Amino acid sequence: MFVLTFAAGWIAWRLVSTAAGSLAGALAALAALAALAAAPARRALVVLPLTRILAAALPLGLPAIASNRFGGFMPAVIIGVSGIALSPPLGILRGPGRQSALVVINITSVACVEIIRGVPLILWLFTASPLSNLFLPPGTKADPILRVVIMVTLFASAYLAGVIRGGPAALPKGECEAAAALGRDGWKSMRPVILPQAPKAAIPGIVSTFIGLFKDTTLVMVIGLLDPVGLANSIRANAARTGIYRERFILIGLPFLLFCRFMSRYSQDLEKKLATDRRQEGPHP
Amino acid sequence: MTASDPVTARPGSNTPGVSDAVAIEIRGLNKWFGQFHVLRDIDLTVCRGERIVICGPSGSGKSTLIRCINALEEHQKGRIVVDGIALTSELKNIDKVRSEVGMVFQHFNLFPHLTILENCTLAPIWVRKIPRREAEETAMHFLTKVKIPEQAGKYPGQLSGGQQQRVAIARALCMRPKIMLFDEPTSALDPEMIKEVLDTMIELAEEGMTMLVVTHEMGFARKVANRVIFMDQGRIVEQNEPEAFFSKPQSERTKLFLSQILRGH
Ligand SMILES: Nc1ncnc2c1ncn2[C@@H]1O[C@H](COP(=O)(O)OP(=O)(O)OP(=O)(O)O)[C@@H](O)[C@H]1O
Ligand SMILES: [Mg+2]
Repeated sequence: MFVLTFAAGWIAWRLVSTAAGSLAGALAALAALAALAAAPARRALVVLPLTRILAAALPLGLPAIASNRFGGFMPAVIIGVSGIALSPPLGILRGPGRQSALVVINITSVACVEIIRGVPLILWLFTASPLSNLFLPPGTKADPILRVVIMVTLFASAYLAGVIRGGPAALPKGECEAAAALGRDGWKSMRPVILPQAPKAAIPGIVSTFIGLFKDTTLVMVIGLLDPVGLANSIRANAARTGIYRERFILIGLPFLLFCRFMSRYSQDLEKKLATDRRQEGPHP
Repeated sequence: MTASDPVTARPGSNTPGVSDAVAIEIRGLNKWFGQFHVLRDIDLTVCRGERIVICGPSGSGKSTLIRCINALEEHQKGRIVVDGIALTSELKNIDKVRSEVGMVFQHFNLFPHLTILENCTLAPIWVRKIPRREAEETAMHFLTKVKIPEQAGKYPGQLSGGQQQRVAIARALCMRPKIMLFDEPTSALDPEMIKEVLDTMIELAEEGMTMLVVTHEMGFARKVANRVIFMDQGRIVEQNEPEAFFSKPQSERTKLFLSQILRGH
C-alpha cells in the first residue's frame, strides 16, 4: 500500500510540479476531498458505484450503515486506512512546495506544515466541524467520519512532509556532487539519483508516522464517535458487566498491537528488500 | 575580473581567442570559505594533453582548487577559463564546462541504487540525450577499457574499492570529457588495489588525456606527470618537472613536505 500511495503521490507531484506549482496541487487535492465531503456528490460519485460493486462481488445483503452509527474498531480502521492512504500524496506535495522558488508558495507551504503540526490533533478534531462548515456550500452537512478523515490526513501529511523531506537530505553529499560533476545538479538530479533512493531513507519515519496516526484514531471519541476506548467506557457503565476490567483493555490493546506490529514488520521487510539487491555490504561505507 | 587581467583583455576570449593549445587557464583565483581564505592568487595554465600532479599538505586547498575547475566550488575572485569557456555564475557555462570535464573522487561516489552499467549510462542518457542502446555500447567499451566488463550487471556495493574506482573512471569517460580531474583517487584504497587504479590512469595518460591529479603517489607523478605542483596554505608554492621537483626542491616547505611523504614510503 505504501508503494501504491507513493506512486500516486509521485505521479501527482510530477503532474503538478510540471503544470502549476505544488500549492495549486495541494489545493486541488483538498478541493477534491471537500467535494467528496458534500453528501450528494459523494453519493453519486463514490458510495453508489462502490456499494454496487461490492454487492455484486459479495452478495451478502448486508444493510448499509450510516457513518454516525459506526462504532468500535470500524472508525479506527476506516480512519486509519484512509489517513494512511491519503496522507503521503499530500505530504509529498509539500516537499517541492517548501523548495519552491516562488516565495509565496514557499512561505504558505511552510506555514501550513507548521500550523497544522503545531496544534494538537484533538484540537483539530474539535474544530473540524466549524471549519468544514466554512468551506462547504451552506446546507451540506459533512459526514463526521469524513471530517475526521480529512483532519487526520492533513495532520499526518504535515508530519510526513518533514519525514519525506528528510529522505533526499539523507543522501550522501558525494553522490550529489558526482551527479553535479556529470552535469545533473540540483533538482535535475532528482529523478535519476535522489528520488529512487529517497523512499528507503524515509520509510522508517513514514511508518512511525502511520503507527502514530493509527493509534490517534482513538481520539475521535472526543467528537462523539464511538471508538474502541469509548466503547469500553460504555461497557463499564453497564451494570451487567461490572468488575470486568482487564479483558476490556486487553481486547482493545491487542488489535492495535497487532496492527502496529504488522506495519513495522512490513516496513522492515520493505527496507530489507530495498537494501539487499541494491546496496550490499561493501568496502564503501 | 579586472580590465587589466590579461585573459579578460584578450578580445573574444570566450572562444578560440585563447590559444587552442590551452585547456585550462586560471588567473588571479581567490576563494574564501566565509572568513577563511582558502585559495590565494592562483595562476595556472594547463595545456592540452598535459598531465599535472598536485600535492601538498592536508588543508592546503588542493581539492578546492580542482573543484573550482568544474564549479563544484564557486570562486569569488579571478578568472577560470576551461576549454575556452569562462566560468562565470552563468549556469549555461557551468553546464558546458561540466560536460567537458570528468571528475573522479576519493570515495568513488557511485550511485548505489544503479548497476555498474546504469552508473555509466546515466549521464550520457540524461545529459547528452544519447539513445540507451548507444550509451550502453559506449559504457561497455569503457568498462572493457578499465578491465571490468564482466561486472556490468552488479551493484557498486558488490565490488571491491579498486573496482569501484575504475567504474568511476569509466563513468566519467562515458561523457567523453576533454579534461579529467582526479581528487586523491587512490587514498581510500587498500595498497593492493592502488596499482590497478594507477595503471588505468597511466593508460589514460598515454592516450593523451589532459589530466589534473591530486595525489601523493610520487611514483605515479614521476612516471606520468609533465609538471608537479606543490601547494601550501592556499598558494602554489612551487612547480617543476617531476625529476627536478623531487631531486632539487627549491623552497623549504617543499623539502620538508617531500621528506615527510618519502619517509612514509
Ligand atoms: N565547505 C567548506 N567550508 C569551509 N571550509 C572548508 C570547506 N571545504 C574545505 N574547507 C577548508 O578549506 C581548506 C582546504 O580544504 P581542501 O579540501 O581543499 O584541502 P586539501 O588540500 O584537499 O586537503 P586534503 O589533503 O586533506 O584533502 C581546509 O582547511 C578545509 O578545512
Ligand atoms: Mg582534498
